[in-house]
Amino acid sequence: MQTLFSGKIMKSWVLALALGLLVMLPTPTSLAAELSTPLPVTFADSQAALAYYLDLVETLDVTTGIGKSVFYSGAGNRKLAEQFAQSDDKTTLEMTPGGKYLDDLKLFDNGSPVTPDAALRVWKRLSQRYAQQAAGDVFCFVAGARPTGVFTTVELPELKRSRKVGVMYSVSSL
Amino acid sequence: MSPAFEISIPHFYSLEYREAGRLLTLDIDFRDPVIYLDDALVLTWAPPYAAEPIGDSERRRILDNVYDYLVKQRGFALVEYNKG
Repeated sequence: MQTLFSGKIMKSWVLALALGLLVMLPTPTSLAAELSTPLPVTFADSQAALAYYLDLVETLDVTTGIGKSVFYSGAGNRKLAEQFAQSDDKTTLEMTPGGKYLDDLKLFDNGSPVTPDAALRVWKRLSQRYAQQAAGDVFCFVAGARPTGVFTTVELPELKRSRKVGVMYSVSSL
Repeated sequence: MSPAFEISIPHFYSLEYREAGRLLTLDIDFRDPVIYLDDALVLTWAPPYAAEPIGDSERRRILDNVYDYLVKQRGFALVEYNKG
């Protein structure tokens, strides 16, 4: 009598398991993109950290449904935008899985592996990707937005360039 | 002597200032290459201290602390501080 864990059956099991693990073994970026909680990562230096996060940001999911994207910029507008998004089944950048993931990394906080300037580059790229994926009508809470801000310099040009975007609503109150 | 304080940047869109057990959240978008500091950022302490008024001198001290933190401790290159 042959048990399940002996002889040829056991060898084939081990082989299948090893092959399965090899196939399923996630790369660092795919792992990061799939998990909701960031993993601690260490880097040789801040340049290596920046390179890692610039790669990572390309993999993060910032998609929203058609007509669901909400943008904001300027003091006081985040709260309005989030209230609007929550009550109207819409989404701000930080409400997307990728936005939340990157936000949880706290790249601007003390102890971040990257400089503030590098963190800015990473976030600008994610904001650009968020604007690029927007489709249908978009909702912008941008009263008082600064000309140097990411909405004016990055997101708005992408929205204007896009052929997927319908009406851009400027909302200043709920 | 100025009271001890702690500052953190938990999100890309806000800075948290803690002093004497109270929390103040400043609405700052760190995706902007220029950080603008002015009186309008300092509104109210978080509950249960929301009813405590923030006077002009206290507001100035908080903004001074935030400015020093961003520029001297953290190396933010462009911080425009409008002292009113």
